[in-house]
Amino acid sequence: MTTKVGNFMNTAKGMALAGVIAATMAAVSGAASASPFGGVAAGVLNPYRQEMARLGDRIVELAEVERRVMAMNEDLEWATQSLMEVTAEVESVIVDDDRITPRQQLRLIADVLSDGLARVRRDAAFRNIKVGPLPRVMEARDSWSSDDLSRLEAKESDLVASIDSYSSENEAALEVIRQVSKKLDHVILAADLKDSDELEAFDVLVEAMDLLPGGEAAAADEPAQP
Amino acid sequence: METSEKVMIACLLISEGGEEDAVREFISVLEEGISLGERDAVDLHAKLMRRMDGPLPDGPAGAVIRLMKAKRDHDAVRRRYGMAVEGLSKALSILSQPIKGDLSARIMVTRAMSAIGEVREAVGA
Repeated sequence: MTTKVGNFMNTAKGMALAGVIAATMAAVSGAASASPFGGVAAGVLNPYRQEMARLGDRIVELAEVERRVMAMNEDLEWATQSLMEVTAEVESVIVDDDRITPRQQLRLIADVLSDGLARVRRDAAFRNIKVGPLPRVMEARDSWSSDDLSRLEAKESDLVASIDSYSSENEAALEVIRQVSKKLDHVILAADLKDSDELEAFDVLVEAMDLLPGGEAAAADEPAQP
Repeated sequence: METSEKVMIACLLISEGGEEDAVREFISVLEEGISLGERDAVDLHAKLMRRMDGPLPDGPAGAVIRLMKAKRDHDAVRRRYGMAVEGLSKALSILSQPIKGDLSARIMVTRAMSAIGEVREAVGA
């Protein structure tokens, strides 16, 4: 039984591409193509290459977007790791002890969890880290001295954004990637640059990029040089 | 296949001299093959994705691939972070329920610890 890929690879187009794929795979340890457009004859620009040529004019912004997203990834990784440390602390609490009543056990768990989350929140603020929503720490710590654990009901236990919402710059960076991805996907699958919606999407991309340092909007804000 | 993956494969193959129509058709059959669970498509896709960790083309093609990789990493870490937050929120929610007696408290302890355990398992730390 032949497969979809197998069928394609038996065509003339597929055979030619198989050579490219093999060469690409072999290039793992060597330098990749120095030409962004491969061996295509100069002056012949197909939709993909037209799009890449346009993006080529935005290469500094693309690098800035990449840097921002990688910084966001580091922040999120740190936050995730910090939350995992909190769970480890909670799990290390010995609750299976006959000398501790279930109410006291609950208080102990709540105490460790709350302290841990407060620490993550404080550290995140100190590091100026902006990550996604974090559970708010139960406040009214004084009430924990009471046996009535129902008073632990958090005023802010539900998920609310506080220090943790994405900044507009970070959102812009993600939007740029979404637009580049959408545009190129459209070009790859449809080979059509005439779709007005897609051209509009490209304008959104340009606008989003202008939010970034080095973009046109940022440049416009800079005082004119004497 | 995710859009970002299709874009990465196209950028790589076209920048290495692949003909646009061939690359377009290849991505289409690769996607079909993966959705049908065909082994050769799945393996080739995995190989191509691993290839993205190697040297990348210069210019916009390489820049776009790096961007897509950063976004893919972002989606993965955001998913893990979301799972951690969700699990801890669940534990907090259990802990803030009113306690009706010792049995109720004991059940809450079990449920809260279970929620915490789920976080560890889901995030894999």
